[in-house]
Amino acid sequence: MWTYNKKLQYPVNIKTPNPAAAKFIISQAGGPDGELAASMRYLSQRFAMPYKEGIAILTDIGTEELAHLEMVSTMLHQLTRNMTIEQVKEAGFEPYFVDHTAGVYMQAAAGFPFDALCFASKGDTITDLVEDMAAEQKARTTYDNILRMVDDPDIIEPIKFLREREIVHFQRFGEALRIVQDNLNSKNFYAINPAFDM
Amino acid sequence: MTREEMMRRVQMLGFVLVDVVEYLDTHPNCERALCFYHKYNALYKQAVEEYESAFGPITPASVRSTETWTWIEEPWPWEQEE
Repeated sequence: MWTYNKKLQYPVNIKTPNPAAAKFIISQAGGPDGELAASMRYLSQRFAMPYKEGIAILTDIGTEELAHLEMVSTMLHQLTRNMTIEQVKEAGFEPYFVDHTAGVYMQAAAGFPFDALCFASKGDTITDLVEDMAAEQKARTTYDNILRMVDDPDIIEPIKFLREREIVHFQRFGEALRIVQDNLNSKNFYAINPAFDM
Repeated sequence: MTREEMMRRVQMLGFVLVDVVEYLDTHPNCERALCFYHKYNALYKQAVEEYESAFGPITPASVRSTETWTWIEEPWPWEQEE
């Protein structure tokens, strides 16, 4: 089970509201490569993971992703705080505003709502870990794209921190994949699915 | 006590805390509930301490070993013991 800590993993203190930036940063909350998807993907995959190192890393990264979701959500809140209707219109924020006002709602930048299709829990140990490595790279690309479009240091700093964590997690999942392969037939890693056949 | 029995105690006391915490969130000035919370929080901490010294950490923060990272040791909660 889980308990909550009343702290952000890394400080977020955005002083200038910027609903135009919120429109695309929201993808890292509710988009297909966002933090909610990452957390639920890893925490779901744990049950099919036969090796304790793999269970631990999926648990601990899945938990950290929830802290990242809180950071991205905090950014969305601060970017849309104290907006005037003029600022809403100027930023083209009306479609979100009309449905959610300045509430935090899980959706992708293109506006489609969060979708569990992105959990990608296949029940095959190698498949799942390769998925996770790709997922970390996809999230890193998204953060890189966000960094191309913002110039406020208050936004850049927490985004850079989150981007760095994607790279570290890619490394950890790569190590988990190596540990899994060390337990398999080195002539054919795909001879069996250790999550099902053992 | 067996591992299962000690875990059951941690679960029971943990749930008592979850329930009273939620009650206190909407009744922050209820002295009786607050007193109840402190009593059961102490019992919970003691039960966790007893469980962890016998069977290993429930959270990574309570790993005691300086030899090896015991956090990853089985069983995980969904694994049934043989």
